Amino acid sequence: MNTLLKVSNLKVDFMTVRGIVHAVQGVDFSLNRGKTLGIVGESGCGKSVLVKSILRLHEEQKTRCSGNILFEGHNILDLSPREMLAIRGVRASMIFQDPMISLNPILKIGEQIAETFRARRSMTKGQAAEEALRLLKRVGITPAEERYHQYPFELSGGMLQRVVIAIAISLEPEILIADEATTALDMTVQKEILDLLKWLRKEKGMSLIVVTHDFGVVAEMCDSIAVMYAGKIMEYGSARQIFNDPCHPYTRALISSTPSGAKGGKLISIPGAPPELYEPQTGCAFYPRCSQAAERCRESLPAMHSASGNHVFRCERPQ
Amino acid sequence: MSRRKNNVGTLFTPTVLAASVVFLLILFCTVCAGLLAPYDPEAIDLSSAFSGPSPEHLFGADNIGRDVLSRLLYGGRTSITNALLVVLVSVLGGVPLGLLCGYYGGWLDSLVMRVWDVILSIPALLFGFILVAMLGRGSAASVLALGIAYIPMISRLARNLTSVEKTKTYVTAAKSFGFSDARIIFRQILPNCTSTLFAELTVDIGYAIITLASLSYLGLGVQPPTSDWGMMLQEGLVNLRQMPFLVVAPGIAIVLTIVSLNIVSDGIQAYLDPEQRKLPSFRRYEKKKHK
Repeated sequence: MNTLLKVSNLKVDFMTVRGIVHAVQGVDFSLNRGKTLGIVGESGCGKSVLVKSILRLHEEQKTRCSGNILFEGHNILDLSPREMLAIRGVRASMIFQDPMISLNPILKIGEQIAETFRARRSMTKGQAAEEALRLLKRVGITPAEERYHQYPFELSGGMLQRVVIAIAISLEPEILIADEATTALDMTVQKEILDLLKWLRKEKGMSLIVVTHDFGVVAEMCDSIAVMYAGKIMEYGSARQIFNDPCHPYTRALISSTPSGAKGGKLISIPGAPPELYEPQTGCAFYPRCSQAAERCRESLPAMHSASGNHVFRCERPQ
Repeated sequence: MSRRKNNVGTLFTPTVLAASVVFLLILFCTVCAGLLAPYDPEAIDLSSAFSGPSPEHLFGADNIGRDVLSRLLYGGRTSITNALLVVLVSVLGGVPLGLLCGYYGGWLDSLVMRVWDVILSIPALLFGFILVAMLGRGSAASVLALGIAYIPMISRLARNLTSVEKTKTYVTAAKSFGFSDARIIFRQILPNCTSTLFAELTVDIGYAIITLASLSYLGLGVQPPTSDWGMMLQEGLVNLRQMPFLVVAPGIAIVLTIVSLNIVSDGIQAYLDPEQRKLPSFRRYEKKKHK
């Protein structure tokens, strides 16, 4: 079996002061070894919630997860907190959106990398420092010896994201989750970070999950793509299928709202905003913003249809 | 490319410099009381009772002829040591508890914080009385009592700082690397709280000196013939009319210690914060650089 991660019928609810938020509403996908999955969608459609639940990073008292997250046959949702510690960092780890805040502000960056070695590999201080320095060089931080002793505020965003990546790959995880890892960086730096990730994937044979709202990033990185909207996957398929033959109106709208996907050089924005997720939807969540919407879209939840092979979409009126 | 250190500006602004000189001087004098004191602080010499400042007794002598300078030095040693011990007790008890409450929240947090609410509604001095009544008089008991009385404040501060820190992304990130809770609490969150805790602690040292003095003044703290500044205040008060200096001397010592300590602590705070640090003028900086 080549499947590393298999998520089926995953639902994530949050208890909030305004009621229950159904952030993820029954999501299925699988990730093969060495492959890259892109999860695309607007802000607030449940992408981050989805990937955070793979590492169970939600506040447990206020979160309810159901379904299966099978990691090499074990359901992550059933593991004890202690067993979870063995998964995090070692089997799967995560890069967060804003590198400025995902490092501890008052510890030297070298020490922060060394800390993972000391915590998880029980290395001595000296060994850990050596490993950390080697890792700093690997992710392209120069001059590594000097940077080792600097604090996060002394480094640029791109440099910091390299440090975060260094920590995330320090224990050689099988899955690396990049949650909007390039969103806070400017375009040139973004390219460098993506190249670094690609290089790591090739060298380490890691599987990647790339969460983004940017179709450009997905086009560059991913083997398969899941388009998410309002807590559900709207369309899922290989990168080629999604780009060449987008079936869901939302996918098409997203693609034509990016510079590379816009036809005739004109960017088209999608009117309206994603719905709030307090109530379970009765019809298609995209209905109010959809150009193809019909009466029946509002009345019943569209089922998953198959376009070809693995390519599926959730729409009753595809074009 | 050379590494830029953030070494522009100085901790020692004139005020901080003066205050640290004063504080270190006090510390030095009291630590070396044995060497510096001209007399045994408990030696009674009735012939020089109530004598004002003179070459033999620089600060004069008290009602039974004990040398005031010597007593100030030895008393300061007791006062400062005890104050530090009070703070140590409150840190050891309060900080770990506060960190745990802040990080885990839930029933532990509610329970501990409600108990603290009750204790905080009683003034520290009064709470000290209660504990001294239970533990007995004396220096060790009063130190322990005050240390316990200060635990609620420290642990509440640590708890609030922790509950703010734990929502930050670096904590989630640390979790995602698989760090244990203990490691996250003590190695990631605690270092981010230390500068604020440190500020509170220096203030507390000042409070502890005053409150210990009050306890001694009321006869609940150190017991004669040992003496601290509070004790000297108490003894001096009896003879306030004959010789006000017997009250003024330990009073000034207490004030100088606390004020200088607070100025130094504020200075350190300001220095550690790049936004607040006192920076040199452009002209001065450039002149220095060209040298």
